[in-house]
Amino acid sequence: MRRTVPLVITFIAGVAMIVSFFVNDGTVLSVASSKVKEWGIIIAGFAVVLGTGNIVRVTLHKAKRGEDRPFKIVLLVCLFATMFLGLFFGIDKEIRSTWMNFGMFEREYNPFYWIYFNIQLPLGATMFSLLVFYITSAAYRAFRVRSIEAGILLTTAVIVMLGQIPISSAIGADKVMAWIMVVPNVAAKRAIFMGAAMGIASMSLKIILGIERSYLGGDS
Amino acid sequence: MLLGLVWYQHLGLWVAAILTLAIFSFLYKDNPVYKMAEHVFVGVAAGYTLAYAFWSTFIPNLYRPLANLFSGGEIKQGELLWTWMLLIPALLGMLFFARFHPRFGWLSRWSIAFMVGAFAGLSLTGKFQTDLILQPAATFVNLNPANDGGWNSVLLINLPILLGVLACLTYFFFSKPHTGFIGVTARTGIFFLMAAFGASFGYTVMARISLFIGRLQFLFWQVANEYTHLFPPPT
Repeated sequence: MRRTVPLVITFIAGVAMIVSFFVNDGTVLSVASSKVKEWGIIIAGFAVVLGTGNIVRVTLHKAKRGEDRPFKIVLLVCLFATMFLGLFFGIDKEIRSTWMNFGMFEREYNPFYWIYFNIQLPLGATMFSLLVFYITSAAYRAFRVRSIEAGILLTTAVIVMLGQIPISSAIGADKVMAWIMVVPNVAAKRAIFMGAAMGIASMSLKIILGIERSYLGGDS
Repeated sequence: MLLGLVWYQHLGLWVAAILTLAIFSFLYKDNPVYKMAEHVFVGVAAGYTLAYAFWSTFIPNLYRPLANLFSGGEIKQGELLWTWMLLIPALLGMLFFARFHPRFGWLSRWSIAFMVGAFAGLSLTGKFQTDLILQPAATFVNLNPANDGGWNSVLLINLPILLGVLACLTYFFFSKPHTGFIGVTARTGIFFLMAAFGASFGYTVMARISLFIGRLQFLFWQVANEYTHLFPPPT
């Protein structure tokens, strides 16, 4: 029960996905496989709930121990406020009648959207923009032209950066950058993707056939 | 209304500007203001993800069909059995929460098994089609210059890509020692790989710089200019 059932479920889910790729003609088989695909979306939704629950659990645990307590409280307040506003008002810019607010606030500006637009979006963009300082200083310390390979890496990086600034066309860097992106970059990425795809495909096959079962935990 | 904006837009500008500056304060050193903004971000992002999953996954795929079923609403012909069977993913999804119970924790493996199996099936076909069929097909193209683009296309694009892919694949082939002709080819592959890594690095840096410029434009053109009119955006 603890070992066989998960393996059978994995096999059925895996085979259903493969079948849905090959059979798409409205037969019972194709409908069944596409339905199983929809089931995957639903179960993934539950995984999001589990993940959020886990954040709450870990944060509460840390807050109880007194580790950064004010910050943990802020995290929980923000999480629950955003979640409840989203669940109650929906996720559109304007509030639409939902089964939760019974049309009370219809066509008003959605406070959930306000949080998304004025908190999440600027915070996400600023967090990622912050990386420019660290990535540049790390590159300055790490990149030394000690070999031909390092020289090629540094040269292409500089050309690609120059190719994206306004004066790039005046110094011809835009054309060189375009060639680098289309030829050596594509060639290397294709080789990497081909190798990775072979690994992923073989691992997927091992999982579906029950040969690889480490995802079930230690005592499986 | 003040300065053409309604109150919640003013509040939004102030909140976004203060949080932006709070994140930038990390450039000086780790500090409580940054930590506060960081925790706000994590909390809001988690709440947003859950609300989004609720409205985009649960409501259309699970709640509406089941509510229709139990309230005697209209169900498409031939869908009745499948609608009943939606209880299976609902049950499997609920089993995720068995993890929190020490005695029934093993039941969550059923849901994990479904997710892993489904993802493996999707990856198998998807990766075969895209990376093992379409990518080689785009690489091994006809090199006859009369076909498409002439000599320029062959010598500057198609041939270097073909040689580059073969060289990189040779570098990743470890069953033969990298000596002699194979060694030279593998080393050429390294050159291609380094060029690609450099390009990726340059692109990432520029993307981050673009984001940084975007944040500065927000602070000066939108926020500061809204209240001082000293930083008008270029027309």
